[in-house]
Amino acid sequence: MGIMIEEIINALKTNPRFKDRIEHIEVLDSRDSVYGVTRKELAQNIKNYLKKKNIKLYKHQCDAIDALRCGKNIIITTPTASGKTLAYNIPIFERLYKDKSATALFLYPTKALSNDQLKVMKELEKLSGIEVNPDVYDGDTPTHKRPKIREHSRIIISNPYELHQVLPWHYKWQKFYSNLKFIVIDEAHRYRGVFGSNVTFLIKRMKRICDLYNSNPQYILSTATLANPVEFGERLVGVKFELISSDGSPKGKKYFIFYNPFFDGIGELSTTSETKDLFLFYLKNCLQTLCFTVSRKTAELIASWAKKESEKTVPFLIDKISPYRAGYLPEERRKIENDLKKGNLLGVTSTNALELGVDIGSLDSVIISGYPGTIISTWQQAGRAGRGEEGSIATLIAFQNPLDQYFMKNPKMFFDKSHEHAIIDDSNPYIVSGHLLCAASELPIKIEDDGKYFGDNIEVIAEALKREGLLKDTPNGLVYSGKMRATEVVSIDNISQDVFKVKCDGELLETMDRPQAYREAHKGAILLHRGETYFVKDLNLKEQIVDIKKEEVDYYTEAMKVADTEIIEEIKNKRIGNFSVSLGSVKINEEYIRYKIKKFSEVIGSMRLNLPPLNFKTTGMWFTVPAEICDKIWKIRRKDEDIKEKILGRKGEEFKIEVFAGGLHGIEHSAISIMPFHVMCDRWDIGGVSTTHHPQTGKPTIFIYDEFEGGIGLTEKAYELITDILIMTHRLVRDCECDHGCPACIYSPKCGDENEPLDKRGTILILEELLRMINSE
Amino acid sequence: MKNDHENTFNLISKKLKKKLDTYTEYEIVKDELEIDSTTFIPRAVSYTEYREAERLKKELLKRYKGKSFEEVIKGKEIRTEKGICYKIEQEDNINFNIINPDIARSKILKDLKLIYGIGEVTERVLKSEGYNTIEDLCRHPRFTSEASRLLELLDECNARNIAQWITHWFPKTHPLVLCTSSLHKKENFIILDIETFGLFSRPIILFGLASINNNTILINQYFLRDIGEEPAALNAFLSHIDENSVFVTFNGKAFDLPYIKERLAYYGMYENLDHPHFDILHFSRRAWKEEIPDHRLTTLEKYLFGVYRENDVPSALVPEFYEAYMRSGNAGVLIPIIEHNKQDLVTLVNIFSKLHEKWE
Repeated sequence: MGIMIEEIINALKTNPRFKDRIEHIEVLDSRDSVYGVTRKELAQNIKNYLKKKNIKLYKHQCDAIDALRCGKNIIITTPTASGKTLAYNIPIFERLYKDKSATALFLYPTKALSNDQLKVMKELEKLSGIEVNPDVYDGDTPTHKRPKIREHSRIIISNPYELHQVLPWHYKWQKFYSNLKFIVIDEAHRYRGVFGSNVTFLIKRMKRICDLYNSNPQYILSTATLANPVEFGERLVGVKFELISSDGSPKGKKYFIFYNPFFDGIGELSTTSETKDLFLFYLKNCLQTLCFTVSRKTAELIASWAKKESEKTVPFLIDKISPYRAGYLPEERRKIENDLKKGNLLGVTSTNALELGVDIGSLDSVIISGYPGTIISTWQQAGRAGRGEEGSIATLIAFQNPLDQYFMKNPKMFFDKSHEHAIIDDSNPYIVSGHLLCAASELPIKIEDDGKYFGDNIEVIAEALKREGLLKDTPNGLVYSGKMRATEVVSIDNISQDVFKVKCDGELLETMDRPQAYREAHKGAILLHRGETYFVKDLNLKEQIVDIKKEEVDYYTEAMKVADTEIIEEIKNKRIGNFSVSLGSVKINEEYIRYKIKKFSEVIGSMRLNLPPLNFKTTGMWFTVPAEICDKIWKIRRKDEDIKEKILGRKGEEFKIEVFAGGLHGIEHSAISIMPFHVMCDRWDIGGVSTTHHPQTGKPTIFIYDEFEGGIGLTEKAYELITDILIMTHRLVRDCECDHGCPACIYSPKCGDENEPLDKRGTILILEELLRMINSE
Repeated sequence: MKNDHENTFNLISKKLKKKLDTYTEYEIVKDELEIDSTTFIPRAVSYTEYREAERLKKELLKRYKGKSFEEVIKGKEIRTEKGICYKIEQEDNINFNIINPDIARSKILKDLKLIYGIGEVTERVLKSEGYNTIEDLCRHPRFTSEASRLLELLDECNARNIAQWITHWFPKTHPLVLCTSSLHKKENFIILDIETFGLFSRPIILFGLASINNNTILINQYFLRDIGEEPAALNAFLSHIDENSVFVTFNGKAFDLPYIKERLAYYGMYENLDHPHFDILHFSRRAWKEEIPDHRLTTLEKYLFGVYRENDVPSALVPEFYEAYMRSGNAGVLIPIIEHNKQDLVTLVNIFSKLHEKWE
């Protein structure tokens, strides 16, 4: 394979269709395996297992085993397919073998992963002969099976959502909790930002229960590479961690290709078409390829186009290609995973649903069609390619947006860029209050004892909750006295539970959430499912049912939306010098008004839509920029070379607004990019909008808001720190070494407007004006 | 700054309260009851019931305004090792007819299928050969040992093991299982029904326990005048339980007992409550599966005894009434809760008798 990969790379480099578009190839060298031995010998049945499976342990696995055996908590950051799971399963099974009552809890972020892991454990149980009765306990577990699992399973696999619901039932788990020796938290990097802050408190609540039953489990975190793994782990769980990061598994040579459809600044074909061509190129060369896309629809489109095209030239491929994404029924997903693993499928297009550790084996090649938004994800996806020592290819295909283009033109920036920080806030007042309420429904709160879980504010929070009648002071402590279940009002992430069923002839085909239904399954839309086209006959909003029929068409549809931000109520306002900032409740409206009918990437028609707006209410802050600044910065900006070039021979006026809008937009993006460090969240937890004229303020306005229904305290905190944030933002953009903006300053990975317009100099000039206003007394 | 800080938490608490208020654990449905007959946690309240209950609540709040708790609810404060709570005692006449132990014994003995290796066909053959009871089987060459073991249990009158034996071969709702209730002493029955502040992980506000003495039903209710009294009420409940206790409930296997266990664990009070337990809901479902549309207690009582409750509070609305009491301090709204609980206990005993009568 190694030689073959090299040949394919050469073919690609010389192929006139592709060669110009290759902006960069980074060669990641191969590495030999580093084996290890454990300090103390492994138990015989574990050795038998390893022998049967023909496994020799790598050094990092031995390090993990040694650390766990002497009672430490570990955080493992080695890549996918480096044998992480085995590294902690061995000492866990060993412990469960020696201590016949010991138990372990495994938490995975998704049900799919849980089921996948169950298979692994069952095999380990069978081959080692160590009886642990592993089982999954989640929302899908039938009621009648639950008591038996709690009583007899010594390894229980669950997820944070389920844990949140079952904590009040601790008496039923008494046996399990009393003997709990290990808690494994896999894919821990997912628990960052607000979601992570919620999970932190969930873990604290669980610890409180463990303390009640006198158990003191060891923690094992497994995560993608992060900038701050140990700090993150310690914040998430509240214990000390030992880092296991040096990967001893062998790695083949990997070619990381940066492929740019827009290398000439024009782009003959769309990113999606280019992806299809490259996908087919790899498949024709017999490379098993997984293609990641940024949306469900593109995953479907690429698979469907690739199939169609192979009809004529390479018919054997037709049945070897499949899309994969969330929304498919579980059994459908299992089948694709298995077919991929067994080699029955050669090419799969997928959303990031396959980015997590579901076992699909390793592949020869991965295509990442469009930058997925974080460095963490990009490497996770690229990590799916590479079987042991064999060579592999990862290809990042750029979109036209400035962010993707920046990486194409500056690949070094990508390869040098540190992975993101995973930030968690263990003092967010919203999150603490909610979880304190949940905890009170699990055990009475005792201020003097429970401060160690909930922090110094516990008394103030308890007072506030008492005032609302949600807690009652009793001789036994503070007792939950709300009318509804406390866990109902605390959701640990912002994933919508609003599910639409897609039915074809009355049969359930898939499920989707409301925004997805509006966007992709409106009346008249062409819905793609496993490469087949379906026509949406009706979208029933009341019953939440999408009625579709199978229809072969050669076009697809794309809904277009308009968005606006409405101020509902201003709660606070402050002036700093001449600068004024407001905090209040805002409504973010999104409305799908038309849809385009497209054939390949060409628009062939457009239809009106009649859907109510989607909106969500949240807390946001906003500030206005005096309109005069537009002229003021233009006077400076117009003298710059790049603008002079642009306006050459034309009237400059039309660029004036663009520079101003680009400046406002730049402030919005860069402020959001530094906010996580001030308000302790993830960038994806905050949203923003900027406009040169807002109908309610009557002025150019920048909004920044919490991406959580009802608000979760992020912009509330940012409002208090606005001066610091603006100073930092200004420094960040001013000191950034790029010329016209880059991912480190004004480009945003989650911009709804494709990072346009953006103007770096404009951003700096407006920020200088704002800081001047702040400093004027 | 400090005030600002407190204000933040106050606002958050207000938001949480508001969010909690938008949820209910029941659904108001059209008058043609769309009761989900598969679940027995009463989730549905008909529109008429709801309106009627609202009217009742208002009327009671008005009528008992300014009256003291003791004036409205006749009972007394009791002291337990876990603090104080309020006890209400009542007595009533009742017809408690369950089959006598001898009949129960002979009914069990007649079913040869309780012996390993005997199905319907074999039973018929055996009966034709003159083996009519398990006692007869003790003489049978093949079934002697099994038959003698069961007979031994019956001689010991070990009701619990006999029930276990039966449920090994028959469904848990089999008439013979109900039959084993006759093997317990009547005074050991604890007829139990609780009223709660919601569906789990919230306080139990009223424990209703009834016992039978000849033709008298003695009802003890332990009530929380304040949520802080819950441990005391739990303790008072436990004081009725001894090693011979037998629970009789309506849906208690899924609701009352797990709920009590959860609350005991909540306060760190652990107690073994694994007593023989006759959950009448399951037996009555089997007995009147065809005839009765849903198996709510009130529906059964209408159908079986023609009882129509007046001024009743549907179980699902108990939390709202209790909340009204907490808010106003007016005990008037508690009257229908206490009455409802008492009526549930009486009906429970009546259905228990009725089942014995039907399956005799």
